[in-house]
Amino acid sequence: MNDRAEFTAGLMKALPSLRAFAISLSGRAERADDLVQDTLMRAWANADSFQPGTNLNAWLFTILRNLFHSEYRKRRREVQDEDGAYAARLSVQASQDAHLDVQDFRLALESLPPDQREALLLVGASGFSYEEAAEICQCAVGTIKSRVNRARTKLAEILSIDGPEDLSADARSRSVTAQSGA
Amino acid sequence: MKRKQASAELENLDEELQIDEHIQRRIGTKLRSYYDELLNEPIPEKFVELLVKLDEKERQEGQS
Repeated sequence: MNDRAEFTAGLMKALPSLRAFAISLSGRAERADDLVQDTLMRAWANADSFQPGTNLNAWLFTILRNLFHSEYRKRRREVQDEDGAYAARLSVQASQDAHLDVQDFRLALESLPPDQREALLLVGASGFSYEEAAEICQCAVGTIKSRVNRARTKLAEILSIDGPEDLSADARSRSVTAQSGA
Repeated sequence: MKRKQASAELENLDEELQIDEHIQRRIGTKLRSYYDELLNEPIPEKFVELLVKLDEKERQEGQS
């Protein structure tokens, strides 16, 4: 076996997290799959520039993010209206099903500015350190920290999370478990 | 309260401290349950096929 076989195995392994990042970044499964496919093609074509032993996932996320942003800049204007209508339809649906916590969260996430959303996704969901996220986004560590912070603040606002007293079902069951355990 | 530092990074750290720990934890929990759903979605067959195809092509080129 050689480096290339190892590289391919690495790409296979990265597929679920690449796709999850692409979906949450772009907000649309269809577009996300195009992004993932383009990322795989580009990664393959540039395999020689990847240094074995370094973080393959961070390298792949950088490619996907760059593709997303060049695409995003190109399509921002034409897609905006369409996206707005789509989000409005979904939010009506979501408010009818108030228990759909994940749906609400997805909508809130989509309403964040892209730079804040991606910072939160990289650090809070994809498991990258602030330093790795800064490298992926090609910015300073402080900038990532500030974006993550702003993203959290805004999500708390949108989702009306303002303290520990308003317990979610999740937290309630945890506190019950903790009490019964004590 | 400490005097505000000139460094942008420390400023950001100051800002970070303003978020309530409980709020941060609850958002983290929601974010992860949202993301776990995505991670557990089946991977479209076409991606695996694409990688297999690229790999085969590479092997053939390597042999010739």
